[in-house]
Amino acid sequence: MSPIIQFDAFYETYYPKVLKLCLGYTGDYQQAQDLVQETFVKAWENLSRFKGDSQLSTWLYRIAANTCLYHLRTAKSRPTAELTERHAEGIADEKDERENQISTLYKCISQLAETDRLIIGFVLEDTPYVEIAQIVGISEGNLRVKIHRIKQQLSELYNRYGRL
Amino acid sequence: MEDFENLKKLWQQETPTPPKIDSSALKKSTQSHQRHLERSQLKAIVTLTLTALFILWLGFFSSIQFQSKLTYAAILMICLVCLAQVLICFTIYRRLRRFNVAAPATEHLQQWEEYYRFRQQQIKINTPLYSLALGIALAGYYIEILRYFSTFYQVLIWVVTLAWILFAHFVLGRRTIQKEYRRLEEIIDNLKKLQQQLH
Repeated sequence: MSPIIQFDAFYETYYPKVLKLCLGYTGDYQQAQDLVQETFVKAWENLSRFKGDSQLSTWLYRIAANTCLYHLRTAKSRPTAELTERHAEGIADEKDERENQISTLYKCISQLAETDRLIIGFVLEDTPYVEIAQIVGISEGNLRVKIHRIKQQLSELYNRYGRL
Repeated sequence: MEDFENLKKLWQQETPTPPKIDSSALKKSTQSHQRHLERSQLKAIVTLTLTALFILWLGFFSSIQFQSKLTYAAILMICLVCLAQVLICFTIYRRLRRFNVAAPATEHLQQWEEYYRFRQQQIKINTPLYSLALGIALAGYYIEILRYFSTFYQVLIWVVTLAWILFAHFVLGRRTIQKEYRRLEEIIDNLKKLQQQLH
């Protein structure tokens, strides 16, 4: 099988998960799409270097996580919080109830601390804790404590919007 | 944590469909995503190689015949200085390309910190050496060339050249280096802040 065909399959499998991860991180669809594209470009560039010492998903999520974290440098100058809010409000007018709930969820996630957004993105995707710990580079024990706190924080944030 | 389980269900309900992938667009995008730090090294590699080739042609392959061996030695020295700089830029470029983008966050930060230290050390030694060697080579070249000019022009050319070398080294060079340092420091600071959030 040619590398391009393999990459196509790889892209189709992981695109939704990476997009959701980036969406959780930015809370903004446009920015999330840019980050996804950057992630896959980096993956494409580095595919030959993947040695198989971790799962392909872990490898890709690490790239996505580093891309999102690196994004912070350029994002500084942009008033994303305000835009995100407006974006979410705009979407809320147009979409049905379920989509409103999803928009609110993205909005709540984007209000968490930067690293917490990434971690919760992985948790929501049911990524095993061992894998998340490997991706963000912290111990599993530390991660469990963090996840517990983030889950509570996210639920509180969401309940504040009276959605659940 | 029942609330959270509901949120998870909500999150997992939506599956965005990927837009059709275009491999050639991806390749193009790869090129356009070349980072700024890499691009500046590539630019320096191309400019210095062209300069070295032009000087080499001027000294050894054009119709100009120089009288002194010192002039030829100076021309050769300019070429060597440029090519040595090309080699250094290439090393930096390769180092940037070798960054492991898939490394865990801590390792990712470490890579940037190591690169920053490497650049600091390298700039400390390389920049003054480069200006000095180029200055000496130019002086050697001028000894024969300026013989054909009046004293006034000789002094003028020496002064302008010296002023340019000093300006390039102390103003332009330092400004570029400061910019690069600031960019690197910002990246490292932000990654450190994120690290602190993780621990």
